[in-house]
Amino acid sequence: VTAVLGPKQATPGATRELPPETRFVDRGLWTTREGVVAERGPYAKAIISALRGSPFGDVALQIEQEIAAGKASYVRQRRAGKKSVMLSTTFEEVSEAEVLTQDKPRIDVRVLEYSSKEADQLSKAALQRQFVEPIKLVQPLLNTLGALAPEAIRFADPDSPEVSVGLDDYVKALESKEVVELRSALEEDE
Amino acid sequence: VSLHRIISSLQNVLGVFAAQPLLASAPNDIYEAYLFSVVVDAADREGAAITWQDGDGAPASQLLFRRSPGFIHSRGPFTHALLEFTNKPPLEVHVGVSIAGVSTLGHECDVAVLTSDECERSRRGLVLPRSRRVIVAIEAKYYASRLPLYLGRGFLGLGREFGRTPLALATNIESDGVVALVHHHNAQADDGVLPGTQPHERLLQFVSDKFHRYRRTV
Repeated sequence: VTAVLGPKQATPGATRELPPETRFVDRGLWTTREGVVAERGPYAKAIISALRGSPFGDVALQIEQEIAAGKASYVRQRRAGKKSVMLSTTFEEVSEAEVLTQDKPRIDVRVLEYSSKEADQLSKAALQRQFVEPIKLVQPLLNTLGALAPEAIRFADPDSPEVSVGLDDYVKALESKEVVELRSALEEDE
Repeated sequence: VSLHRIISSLQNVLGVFAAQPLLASAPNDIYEAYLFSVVVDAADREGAAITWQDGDGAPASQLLFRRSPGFIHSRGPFTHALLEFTNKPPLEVHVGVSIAGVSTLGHECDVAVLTSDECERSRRGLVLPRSRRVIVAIEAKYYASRLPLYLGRGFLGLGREFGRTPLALATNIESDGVVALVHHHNAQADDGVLPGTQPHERLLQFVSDKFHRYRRTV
């Protein structure tokens, strides 16, 4: 069974396996890995539904039972004492999430309504932090360290200190055409 | 601009990610260097004379930081700051070094200020420096999204390992849950630590206080 979920803007045909470390944690959080974007609400509900019959079916069942019993919610209701079901997805999974099982044939479940403004905002904020904020650290860092040139601040793995990259290399990477394009898109959106 | 455009841009960038591993490690490395600069700034404000040295004690004209945990005793070209306060034993500021907790197990410290004596002991004996000789240490967390709670739990565990050593958790992102957890246990944590922000000033003050206290201890 393959369930493909994504907003209507998603690129057709893109697929992704859930990472093997995906797990259900005791607080009602279903997590994948670091660098994640949270999904709640109808998108989360749709994914949980799609998980029925998959290797994660018992997790889905557990979540749905807790929701049916009023112990959990797809939206934040902490003050009501409910656990919040949150699906953590990688950036790619914001646009396209795929749940693969060992069984075939495939059933496609496509979510055409992508109404999670929260996820939208979170993903933009996360991108800002990954690509925009680091560049803002550079100048204060250089100023504090005695106005050194960027190439005079270098980074290397302890096992191979002779192979180092300079802060200027990082700046170049963060100023690459693709990243600048992304940053421009983010800024225009604000 | 729609989410679609952003995601399209991101897909391009993710392609670049694969081709340019630099992009993946840049935020963390720059953030640790930035926190190193906060510590140096705090020492400067407290009147320390600051010089750069490599692991063999030679003056350094460029700064080389570790991208992953290493050892003070491995010497070599990695840079530390030497801090000299009047009439006090010198201190060293290191990035990404392993320090022994009370269990004697080693733990990575993203930024750590230690007595030079202890660093010399480590270099001579090829042993880990002891946490009780750490003046202050900072755990850096550069994240794209809110810190998961287990990182707060891990930080509290590190605090137990380091006994009474002053530790601070510093993260770029607002993480009220983790900060509340750490504060509840009377430990130091600041979220949103970025240049020009109040959290930056709070962290700077926290480190300055440790240097101030060091200067004034008999």
